[in-house]
Amino acid sequence: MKKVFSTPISMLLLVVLFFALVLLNNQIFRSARFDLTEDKVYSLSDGSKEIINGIDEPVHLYFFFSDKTSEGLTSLRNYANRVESLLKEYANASDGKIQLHLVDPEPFSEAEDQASEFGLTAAMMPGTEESIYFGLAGRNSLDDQQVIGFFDPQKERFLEYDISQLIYLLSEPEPLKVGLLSGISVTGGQNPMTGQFDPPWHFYAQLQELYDVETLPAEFDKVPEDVGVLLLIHPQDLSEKTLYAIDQFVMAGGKLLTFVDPHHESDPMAAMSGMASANTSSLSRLFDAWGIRMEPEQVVLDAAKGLDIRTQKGVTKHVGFIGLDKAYLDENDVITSSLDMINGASFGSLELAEGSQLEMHPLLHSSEYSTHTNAMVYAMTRDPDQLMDQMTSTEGEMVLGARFQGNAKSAFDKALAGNEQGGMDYIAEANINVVVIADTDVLADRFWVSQANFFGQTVFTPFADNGALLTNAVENMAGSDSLISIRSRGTYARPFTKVQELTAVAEMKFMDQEKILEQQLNETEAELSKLQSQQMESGALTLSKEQEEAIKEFNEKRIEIRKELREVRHQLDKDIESLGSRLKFLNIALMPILLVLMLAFVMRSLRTRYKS
Amino acid sequence: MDNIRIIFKREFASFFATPVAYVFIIIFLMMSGVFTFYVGNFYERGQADLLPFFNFHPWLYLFLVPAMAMRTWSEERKSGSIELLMTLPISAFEAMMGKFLAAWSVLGLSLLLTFPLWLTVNYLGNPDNGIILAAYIGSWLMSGAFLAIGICMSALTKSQVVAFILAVVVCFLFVLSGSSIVLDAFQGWLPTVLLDTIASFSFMTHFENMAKGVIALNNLVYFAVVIGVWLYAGLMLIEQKKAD
Repeated sequence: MKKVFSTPISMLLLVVLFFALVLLNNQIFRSARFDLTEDKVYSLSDGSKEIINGIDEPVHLYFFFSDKTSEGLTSLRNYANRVESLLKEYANASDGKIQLHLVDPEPFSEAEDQASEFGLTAAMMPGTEESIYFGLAGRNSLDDQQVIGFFDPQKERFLEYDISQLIYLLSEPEPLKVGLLSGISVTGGQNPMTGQFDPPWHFYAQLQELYDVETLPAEFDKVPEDVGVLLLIHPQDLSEKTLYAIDQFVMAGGKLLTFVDPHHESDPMAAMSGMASANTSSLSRLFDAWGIRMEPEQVVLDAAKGLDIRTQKGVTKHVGFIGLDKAYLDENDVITSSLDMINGASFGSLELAEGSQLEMHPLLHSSEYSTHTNAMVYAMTRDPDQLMDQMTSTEGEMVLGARFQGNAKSAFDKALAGNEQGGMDYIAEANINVVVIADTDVLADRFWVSQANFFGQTVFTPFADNGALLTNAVENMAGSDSLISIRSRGTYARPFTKVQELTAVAEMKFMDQEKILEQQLNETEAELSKLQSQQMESGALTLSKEQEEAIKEFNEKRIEIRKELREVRHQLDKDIESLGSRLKFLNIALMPILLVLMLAFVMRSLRTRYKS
Repeated sequence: MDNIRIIFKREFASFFATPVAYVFIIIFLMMSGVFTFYVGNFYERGQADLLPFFNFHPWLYLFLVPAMAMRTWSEERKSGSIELLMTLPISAFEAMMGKFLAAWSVLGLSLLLTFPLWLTVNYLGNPDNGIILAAYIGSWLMSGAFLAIGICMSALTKSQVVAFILAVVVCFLFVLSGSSIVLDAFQGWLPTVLLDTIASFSFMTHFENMAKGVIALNNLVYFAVVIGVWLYAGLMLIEQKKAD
C-alpha cells in the first residue's frame, strides 16, 4: 500500500470518513426497503394505493415532529423515522398529489403556533421538561382539515390505517349520511305505558351528533342514494319491497351495519306483556341468501362471562347477560381494538352458512364455557339461577358479532315487479360488506351508560364501550372498501398452537374428574356448615364429642379433596410443562452436542479425502 | 481473488484443525439456547416467534466474536509467521480478506446450526418465517461487524488477551451508542444531526430494524461500512507494523 499520510493522520481521516459515510447513509438510503414479513406489514398495501389513486385535488400533509426537543429519546425517534418514511412512500406513490411538509415545531416558534392551530397535542415526555409534538395534519384544496393528534407507538399496527383514513377523509370531503331503519323506537317519543315522553336512546343522540342521520320509513322502495351506511336495528316483518331495497343496496356495494337479536328484551312493551314469547329479529331471508347464519331462536349462555345482577335474593350471576372484556374482542380489527368492555343480553351466535362464499371475521366472541338455549325458554325464565341450571354442557366459543365480506348472491331471483330502484339495474351477485352484531340490547342505555342529574342537566357516563362499538363500525364502514381492506394487517399474536391443542386435550381429560371432586367438596362443606349452624342454633357453647369428631372428620376430608383438586390442576399443566422441558433439553444440550459431533465427523472425513 | 480463496481455505481449515471452532460453536449454540429459554422465557411467552433468541445475539457476540478474532493477527505476529506470510506473493489486503471471510463463514455456520430452534418454533406454532429470515441475515451481518472490529484489534497488538479486551470495549461502545447512557454524554453540545448519527452507530438500532422483518438498504450499507472501515484500519496497522 502506498503511503500518502502517516498512520495517525490516516486513522483520523478514516474516522472522519466513517462518520461521513454513516451520516450520508442515514440520509440517502433510509427509504429503500425490502419487506420480508408475511403480510408485507411495512409496505403500502393495495388499499392505500387505491386511496392515493382516488385523490383528485392536491392534499397537503404536515408532519410535525419535535426533532430538537426529542434528542436522546431513541425509541420515539426510531418510530418517528418509521412514520416519516411511510409518509414519504405515500408522497412518492401519489405522483405529486400528496405534498409532504416536514415541520419541527421548536418552542416559541411559528411552527409551534401552526401546530396548535391545527389542534395538535404536545406530549410531555417523562424525564424531560420539554413537550414533544409528533402528529400529522392534512389540508385539502377546500381548506378542510384532518389531524392525527399524536402517533402513539402502541398503535403502530394501525399506523397505515390511520394515515390512509386521514387522506381518504380529505379526498372525500362530503359529510357522511347514515340511514336508520329501526324496529325499536330508539328516537324517543310518547311512552304508551306511562303516557310520558321518553328521551331518545343515548346511542341515537350520540350518532346524531357525529353524522347526518336520516330515519327511514318502515317501508321503502329504495335506500336514498346519499346514504353511506345503512343501520338496521332489530328488523321485524319487513315488507318484500323493503327487503328488496336493502338487498340491492348491499349488492350495489352499500355498507350494511345491522343489530339482530334472537330475543330483544329491552323493549318496554315486551316487558309489559310478560315476555310470553321471544322477541326475535327477522332478517333471515337476506342472511340465508347471502350465506350468513344466525342460529335461529337460540340464545347464547356464557358461564364464564355472565354479568352479576342484583335480584331480590341478592347478587347473582346471569348467564344470559354477557360482559365481554378485551380478551373477547378482536384486537386486530379497528372496530374493536380500542374497546375494553361490551355488555349485552341474550346474544345470538353467528356462523357461515354451508356453501357460503363469504369470509367471516369475528369481532366479538363468547368464552369457551358457552352453550345455547331456546329463545322462547329464555324469555319465559325469570330466575337467573334457573338459567344457570340449563348449562349442563358447554359448546365452546361462539361468534357474537362479525364482519362478513366476499361474494354473495341476491335474495331475489329477479327484479321485483313494480320496484325499479329508481332506474337501477337488478344485481344478482356481488361482493358485499356487512357487519352483524347478534344483539340489539347492546344499544339499550342500561347496558352501557348511566344517567345522573347534575344541577338540572342530565349527565351520561358510559361504563361500557357499546356506543363506541357502534360509532367505530359506522366510521369504519363509511370509508371506502380500500380503507376497510387495510384495517390492521398482519397477525401479531401467533400463539403456540401445539400447546393450545395439548391444553384442550388435557382439559377434556381432567374436567370430569375435577367436577366430581368439586361436587364432593361442596357436599362436604355444606355438611360442615350444617353442623356448625346446628351448634349455633342449639346455643351450646361446647360441642358434644360426636359433633367434634364429625367436624374433625369433615375438615380432614375437605383438606384431602382440596389436595386432590390441586393435583388435578397440576396434572393439567404437566403435559405442557414436560413438552417445554423436552424442548429445552433438545435445544440446549442434545442438539448442540450432536450437531458439533456431526460437524467434527464431516470435517474429519473431508480432511482425509483431501489428504488422500 | 485466487489468493483470497487460498487464504480463506487455509484459515477455515485451521479453525477446524484445532478445537477452536468446535468450542466456539458449541458454546454459541448452548448459550443461545440458555438465553432463549431461561432469560427470554421463550416457552412461557407462548408466542411463535424467535425474538427471545435474536434479542441476545448482540450480547453473545460481544464476548464470543472477539474471542474468535483475537488470534487472527496477534498469533501470526507472536509466532513470527506473519513474516513468512508477507514474503508470499499475496498482498496484505488479500490476507485480511481471506482471514475475515473464513472467520465470518464459521460464524455463519454457527448461525445455521441453530436450525433446531427454527424447527421448534415451527412445530409449536405458525411463525412469520420472513421475519425470522430477515433476523438471521441481520444477525450474520452484525456478527461481521463485531468480527471486523475484533480483527482490527488483533492487528494492533501481539497479545491475544489485550486484543480481546480492546475488541470487547470497542464493540460494547458500538452496541451501546444508541442508548441514553452514551447519548446523554453528548446531549446539549452536539447538533441533532450528529447526535442522530451517533445513535445510528449502534449495532442494536440496525439489527432491531432488521429483526422486525424489513431489510432496509441503510441497514445493509451501515454494516458494510463498519466492516469495510474497520478492516481497512486493520490493514493500515498491518502495513505500519510491517514498515516498523
